[in-house]
Amino acid sequence: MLSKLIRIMKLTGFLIFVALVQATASVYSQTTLLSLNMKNSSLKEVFREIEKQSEFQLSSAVEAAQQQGRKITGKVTDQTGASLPGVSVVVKGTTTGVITDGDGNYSLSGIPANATLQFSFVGMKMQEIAVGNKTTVNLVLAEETIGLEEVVAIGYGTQRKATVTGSVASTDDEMVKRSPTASLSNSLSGLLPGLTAINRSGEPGQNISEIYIRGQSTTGDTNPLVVVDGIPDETGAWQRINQNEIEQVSILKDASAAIYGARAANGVILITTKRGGISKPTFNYTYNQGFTQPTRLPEMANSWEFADYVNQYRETMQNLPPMYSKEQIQIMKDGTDQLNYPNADWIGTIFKDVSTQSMQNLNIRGGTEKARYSMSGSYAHENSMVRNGIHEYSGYTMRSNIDVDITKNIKFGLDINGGMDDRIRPVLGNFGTEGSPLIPAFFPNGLPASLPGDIGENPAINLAGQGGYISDKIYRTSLKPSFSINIPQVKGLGVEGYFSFRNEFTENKNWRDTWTVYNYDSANDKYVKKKGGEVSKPDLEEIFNKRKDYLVHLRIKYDKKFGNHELTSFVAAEQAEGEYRSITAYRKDFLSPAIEELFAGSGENMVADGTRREWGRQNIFGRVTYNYKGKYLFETNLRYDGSYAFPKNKRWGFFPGFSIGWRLSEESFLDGLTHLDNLKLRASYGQMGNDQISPFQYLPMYNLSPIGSHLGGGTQAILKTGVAPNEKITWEVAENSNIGLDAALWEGGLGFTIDVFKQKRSNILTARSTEVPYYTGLVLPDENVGIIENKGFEVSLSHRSKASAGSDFSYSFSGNVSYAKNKIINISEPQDMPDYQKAEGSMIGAQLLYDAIGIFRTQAQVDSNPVFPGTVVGDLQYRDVNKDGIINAADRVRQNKGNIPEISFGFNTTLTYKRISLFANFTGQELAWTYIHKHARTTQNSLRDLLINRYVPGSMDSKYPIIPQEDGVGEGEVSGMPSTFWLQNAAFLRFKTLQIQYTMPENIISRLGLSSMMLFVNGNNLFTLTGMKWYDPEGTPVSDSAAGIGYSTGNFYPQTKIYNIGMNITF
Amino acid sequence: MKKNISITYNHKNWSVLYLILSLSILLITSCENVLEKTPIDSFSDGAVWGDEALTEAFANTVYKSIPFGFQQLHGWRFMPYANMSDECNSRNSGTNIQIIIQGNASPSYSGPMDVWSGPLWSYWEPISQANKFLDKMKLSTIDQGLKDRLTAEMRAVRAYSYFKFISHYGGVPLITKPFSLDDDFKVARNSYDEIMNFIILELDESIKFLPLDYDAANDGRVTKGAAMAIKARALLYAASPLNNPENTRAKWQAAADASKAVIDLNQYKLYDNYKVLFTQAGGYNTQEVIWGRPQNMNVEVESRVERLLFPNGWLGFAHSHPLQNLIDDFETTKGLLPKVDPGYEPQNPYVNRDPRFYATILYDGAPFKNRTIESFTPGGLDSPDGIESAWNASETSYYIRKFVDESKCGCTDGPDGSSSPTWIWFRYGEVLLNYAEAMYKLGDEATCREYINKIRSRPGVNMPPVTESGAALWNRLVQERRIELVFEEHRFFDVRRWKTATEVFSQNRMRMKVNKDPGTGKKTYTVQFFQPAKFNDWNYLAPIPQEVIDQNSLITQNPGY
Repeated sequence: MLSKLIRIMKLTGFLIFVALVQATASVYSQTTLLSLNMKNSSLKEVFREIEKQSEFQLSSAVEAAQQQGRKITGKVTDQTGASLPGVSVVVKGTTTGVITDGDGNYSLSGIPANATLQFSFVGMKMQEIAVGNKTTVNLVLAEETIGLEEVVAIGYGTQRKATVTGSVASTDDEMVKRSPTASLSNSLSGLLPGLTAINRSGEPGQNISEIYIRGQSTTGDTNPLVVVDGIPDETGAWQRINQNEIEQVSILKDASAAIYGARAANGVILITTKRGGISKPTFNYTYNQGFTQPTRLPEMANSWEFADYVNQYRETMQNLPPMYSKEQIQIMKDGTDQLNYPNADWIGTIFKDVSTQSMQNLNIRGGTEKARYSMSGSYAHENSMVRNGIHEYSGYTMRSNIDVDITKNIKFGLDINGGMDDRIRPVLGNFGTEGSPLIPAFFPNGLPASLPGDIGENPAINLAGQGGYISDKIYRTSLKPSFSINIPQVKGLGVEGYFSFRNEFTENKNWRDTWTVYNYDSANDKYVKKKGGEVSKPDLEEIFNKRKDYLVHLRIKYDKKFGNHELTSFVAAEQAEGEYRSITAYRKDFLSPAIEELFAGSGENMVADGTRREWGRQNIFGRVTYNYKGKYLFETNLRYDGSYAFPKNKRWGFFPGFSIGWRLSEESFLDGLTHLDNLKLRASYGQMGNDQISPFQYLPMYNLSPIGSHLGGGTQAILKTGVAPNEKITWEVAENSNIGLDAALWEGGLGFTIDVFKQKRSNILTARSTEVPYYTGLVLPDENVGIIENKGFEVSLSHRSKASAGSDFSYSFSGNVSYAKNKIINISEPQDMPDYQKAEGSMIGAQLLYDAIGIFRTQAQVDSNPVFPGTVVGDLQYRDVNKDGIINAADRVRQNKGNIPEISFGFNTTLTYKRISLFANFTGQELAWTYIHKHARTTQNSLRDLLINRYVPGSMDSKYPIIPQEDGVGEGEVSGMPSTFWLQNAAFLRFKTLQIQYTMPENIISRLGLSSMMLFVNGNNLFTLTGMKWYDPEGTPVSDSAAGIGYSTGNFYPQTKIYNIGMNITF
Repeated sequence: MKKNISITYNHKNWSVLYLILSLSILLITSCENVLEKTPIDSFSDGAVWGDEALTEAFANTVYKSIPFGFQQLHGWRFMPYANMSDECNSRNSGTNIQIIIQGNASPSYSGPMDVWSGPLWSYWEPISQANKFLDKMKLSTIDQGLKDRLTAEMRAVRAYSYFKFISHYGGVPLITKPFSLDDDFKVARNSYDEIMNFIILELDESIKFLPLDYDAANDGRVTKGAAMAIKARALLYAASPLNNPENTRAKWQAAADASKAVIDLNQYKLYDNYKVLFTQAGGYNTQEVIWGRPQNMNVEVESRVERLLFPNGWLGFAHSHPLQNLIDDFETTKGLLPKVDPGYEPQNPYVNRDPRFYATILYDGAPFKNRTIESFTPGGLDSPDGIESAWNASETSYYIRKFVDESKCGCTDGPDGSSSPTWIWFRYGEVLLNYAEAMYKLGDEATCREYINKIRSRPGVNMPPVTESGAALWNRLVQERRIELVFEEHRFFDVRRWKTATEVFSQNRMRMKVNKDPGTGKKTYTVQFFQPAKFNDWNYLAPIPQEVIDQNSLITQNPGY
C-alpha cells in the first residue's frame, strides 16, 4: 500500500504536527485560527507558541499535565508487525495527544480512568480503544482498504482518495501479484475500470497485452503514457517490472492526466515501485512454479476429410481426376497404413501437453530514521509450449530504491534499476495449421517429413530451432538520484527534483540455417532427402541498438493550511533529451553452420547499415489543489509543453485541466445518514495532447536507400522523397469531460464509483491518403484533420464483509464495467462516397465489408440475383446495397464491428477463512469482433469445421460456402472477398486469475526462524466462455495491407493457461 | 516518553537551494536547442538539390518506379499482361485475372490493369517524381551538362509513362508540375490526342540532349535511341484503329518515319541467339536491346524470375502457364500453322516447330536441366500429381522457358535460385516489326515483307520467308508479332489497338492434357477446354478505379463501366 510509503517517509516535526492537527481538527480547527509567524525558530519554540495560542498539549511540552492521572505506554504496529512511526494517539474528546516515535512507541500521561484512545494514521483505519485499567495498550492498525484514507498516485504526487477530484483508478500490489504472469500488462486485466488489456499471444517474452484506456479516441497512436516513478517509459520496459516490486498502479483517465500535457490524451498509467521503511532488514522471498498449456488450439480436419476435399477440388476446380480412391480413404479411416495414408495431427505433434515457467523474487527492505532502502531482484523464466521448441524467455530485474535524510529538511534518494530480457524464437513460426494430414511430421521410422513447398518446411522441427533462430537481448539500466528540501523559513515550501539517466542496449541476432527433411517415394519405397531452408547456406544478421536519454525534473511546492482552507501547489519544469543509434551487419553464405558469428560468413554481398535519431522535450507545469473543510474540492493542472517534433511556431502547447469535487457526506444536511461514510460528486474538464507521430514532418526530407538502383545491374543509391512538408503540423488535442460519483456506505459494506465521460479528440493526425489523388505524387504527411468523439462510462462496485472481532470468515467483492464508444466525426475521406461507406459516422477501424446474405445453392439463384462477377453456385451471396444489379466495391458497407471491445469488464472476490484465502478474478469483453480467414488448398489442411461443413456440389444446407484458396482477403475470390460472413463475435468471459493462499501458523514459522510464510496455488486463464468458434478470442490478427483489413488465421502462438504453485516467506 | 524534535538548520540550506535553483534555471533556459533537433537519418531539400550525386540518386529512384514485367509485388503483378491476354494463364486460385479475361473488369476491380490508384504499381509514381525533379532543376546549380542530360532523361521517362497510361485508359489528366499540400487537387482528364502531342514534343526535346549510349554501369538509362523508340511505338499506337478511327494516313507516316529513324541510327541490330537474348547473358550485352530494366538478384530486392517460372518439380512457383492457343500459333518449320500443315501430328505435337517455340515454351518431354519435363499424369513430377509443390503445377501442361536461366536452381530465394535477366522494354526486333506494320498501312507491302523476314531470318530462327500480300500479309504480320514478341507486354495492347479484341480475346482458352499409360508408357495428347474468355466492346479501355472518381469528381469514367 502506498500508505507505507507515506509512513516510512521521514516526516519532519512540522508535518507530524500537521497530521496531529488534522486528527483533532474536527472539533477544534473550525473555531480557532492558529497564527504562526516565526522565523529562525526551533520546533520547541514553535510548539510553545502553538500552546500559547491553543489548548493543544504537545508531547514535548506537557510535563506538567503528566504529573496527574495515569500513564499509558504502548507500541503501534501494522499487520506485518512493522512498527508504525508518526501515528497520532489522542485521548478522545480532548486535545491531549502524542505521536509515536520512530519505533512506533508512545507514552501518554495524565489519562483519566474512563478514557478512550483514538489511533489514526494516513492510510490506516482509525481505531478507538477504551483504556480501562490498562497501562499498556499495544495496537495493530489495520490498513484502510475501502480507500477513503487510502492514498493514490496522481501525476507528480499522491492524494487521499477522499479528496481526489479526477477520474483515477488504482490497484495495489496485492492484486497485481496474484496473477502468475511474467508481463505486468497481463496482470492488470479486469482490475482497473476503464482499462482494457488484450493479450494477443502467449509467446514467451512477447506475451504482453495491448492496453487501451477508455477505448480508442484516435486513428493515430492509442498507447497510453506509462510513467514509472515519475519517468515516462517509451520502450515498454514497464512490462517487465516484477509484480512484487510494485506498490501501486493507477490510471489517470480524465483531466487529471492533463498534468502530462502533450502525451496524456490516451490516458496515463502511473506505476509506483516499493520503497524502504523504518524497520529491521526484512527479507521477502517468493517462488512461483507455473505449468502452462495453450488456452485453445484450432481443430484441423482429419486425413479422410481432407482427402475428400482434395478430390472435390481437383474435380470441380482443376478438371482433374480424384487423387484418392474410396479404398484409400477407407485405409485412412482404418489407420492401417501410417506410412502412405496417415492421419497426421500436426498441432497435436507440435504442442506439448504441459510446459513450465517460473518466477522468483527476493527483496530486502528496511531502514532507520536516517536511511531507508528497498532492494530487490527477480528472475522469470518461460519455456516453450512446443515440443522441443526453442521459444524461451528469461527476464532479470534488479531495483534498489534508497532514501537518505541528510538533515531533517534535506533528503536524498537514489534509485538504481537494471534489467535484462533474453528471449529467443525460431525463424519459422508456423504452428501447423497448414500441414497436410496426409504427411506426418515424422515418418514411422522417425525421419522428419517435408511439407510440400519450396523451403521444405516442417513446423515440428522448425519450431525446435532447425532453420535458425532470432534472439533478442535487451539490457536496461537507469539511475535516478533525487532530492527534496523543505525550506524551514517558509512553512510548506519545498523544492524537489530528480535526474534520470537511462540506457537501453539491444542485441538482436537473426541466424538462418538449412535443415534436412525427407519425402517418401512410395513407388520405390525410398526416403528422398531434401534440403530445407529459406536460404541455401546459412546467413546471419546482427543488429545493435542503443537508446539513451536523460530527464531533469525540478519542482517547487507550497502547501498551506489555514483554518478551513487547505492548499497544495507546485510548479515544476522538466527537460528530456534522448538519442537512438542502430548498427546492422549482415553476411551470408556461411561455409559451415558450426560458428554463428559474422566473420564466418562470405565477404561477398555483405551489408552494413546504421542510423541515428535524436529527440528533446521541455515543459513547465504545475498544480493547485484547494479544499474548504475537506468538503469543497478544487484542482487545476496546467502544463506548457514543448516538443521537438513540430515546427518552431507550433512547438509549444498549453494543456489545462480543472476538476471540482463536492463531498456531500460532509454536509450537515446529510448527517442523518449515519451509514454514509462518503459521498462525493466530481466533475472535470481538461485538454490534453497526443504527439506520438513521426517527427519532422514539417521539413522536406529525402530518404536514402543504399541499395536500390537497378542501373547497370548495380547497386547505386536511390533517394526517395519523404513526406510533403506540413508546416502547420501540431498535436492532437483531446478535450475531456468527466462527471463522477464516489460513495462509500456501511464502513465498506458498499462502495461504488460511477464515471461518465466524453472525449472529443480533434486535430487528429492522419494522412489524407484516401482523399488526395495519387497523381499528386505527394507522400502525405500527417495532418491535423480528424475529429473523433468517444463517450462512455465506468461503474465499479465493491462490497466487503463487516470486520467483526472473533470472526473467522471475511470476504470482499468488487466488479467493474467499462463502456467506451467512439465515433468518427470528421476524417479525411472522399466526399463523393455513399453514406453507408463513410468512415465518418462510424467507429474507428470499422471495415468496409460485403454484406453476406447467404450461399447460392442453385444456378437459377445465381442467374436471377445480382452477383459479384465470377460467382458460381456455392459462393456467398452479397447484398446489392445500391441496387444497381451487380455486386461490386460500391456494395461494401462500413461495419461498426471492431477488434477493440466497446465493453470490458472484470469482477473479483476475495474470501478469507482463518488462514486460508481465495482470490478469483474474472474478466471479459463485449462488442468486439474478429475477422477470421482460413484458406484450404490441395496440400494444405484447413479447419475441420470449415472442411466438413464446406459447400459441396448439390449441397442445399452447407454451413460454409466454397472455401477460399488464398490467404488474405480481397484478392478476387468471390467467397473470400471481405464480407460479414467471416466476422465472428469475439465477446468472452474469462476466469483470469484464481489464487488460494494459506498462511502458515506462527508456531511453525517461528520454529523455522521466519516471520511469515504463505503457500499458494494460482491459475491464469483457467477457462473461457466465448462465441468464437476456432481460436482464442483474444487472437492474433494478421494485418493485410492489400485488403485493408486485419484477419486471423489461427496461425499464432496460443495464449497460455497457467497453473502455478508458489511460496512466500518473510524473515 | 519525551520526544524532543528539533530542527537544525543553518544558512547553508539556503545556499544549497539557491545553487540548485540557479543551476536548474540555467540548465533549462540555456538549453533552447533541446527542441532544435533536425533529422539525422534523412537529407534535407537543400542538401539534395545542390549535390550532383544526390540529384542523380533521386533520378535513379524515378527509373526504379517504372512498372516492368518482372515486378516483385504480389504474385499477380508478375508478367500480368501475358496472363491478361491469350498467351498465358496464371493459377486458377488467382481468380483476379479471371475477372479480367472474362470481361468483368470494373471500377471496383481491374486487377493489374489498375495502373492508376497506386501506390505500388502506377505510372503516376514516375510521372509525379519526374515532375518534382524537373521543377527542382529550375533552380539547381549542378553542372549544366549533367543537368541537361538528367532533365532529358526524366522528360523521356515521363513521356513513356504517359504513353503507357493512355494505352490503358485513353486520356488522363496531364500533370506536369508538382503539387503541394494546399493545392486544389482536382484535375480533369485531357484527351488522348492532347497527351500524345505532349509525349511527342517532350520526346523530341529530350532526344536533343540524350547520348547515344552510356557505359555499362549506366545501362538502363534512357538513351537517344530509347527516346526515339518510345516515340516510334507511341506513334504506331496513335495511328492504330483504336486511336485513329479516321485512319489518317499522316499518322501512319509519322509512325513509319519514327521507326525508320531508329533503324537509321545504325546503333542496333538483331542478336543471333533468340533464346539467350532474354536471359541475363543477353539483355544489354547485346546490340538488340534499346531500353530495358536491368536487375541485380544479389541485392535481393529484385524479382526472382526462375523461382517464379520454374515448374513445381524444381520447386518453382510456375506462376504463368502458356495456353494451348499460343502453342497452336507456333508455326512448324515449314512456316505453316500446325492446323494447316499436313505433316503435323497431333499425337506428336512438339516436333519440327519454329525454333522460337523451343526457346519460349517448356512442354511435356522438353529437355530441361538434368531431365525432361513431366507434365503428364498420372505421376509426372511437374504435374499436379508431383511430389513437390503439387499446387504449383501448370494447369495447361506448359511452362515458360523464355527469360529463364536453366543453370539456376529455382528452388530458393536469392541468387542461387534466380538470375537477373533484364526486362526489355524496347528492342530492335520490335522496331523492325513496327516499321513493317506502318509500311503495310502505308501500302508498301514489299518493305513490310522485307522487315518481317529480317525477323524470321535471325540466325538460329531461320524460318521460311513470308511471301503473302494483302490481308494474308497482314495476318502474317500479326502472327509474327504474337510469336516474336510473346510475353513482352505487346499482345495485350496490340490486339486492343487493332480493335480485334472482341473476337480474339473472346476465344475459349485451351490446355493440353497429356496422359501417360503407366503400363506402356505411351502418351496421349488431348486438347481440352480450359477457361472461357470474353472481351466486351467497352473493354478496349480500362475502367478507372472507383476510388479515383470518389476522390475527384472531375474524372469521368470510361464508357461502359
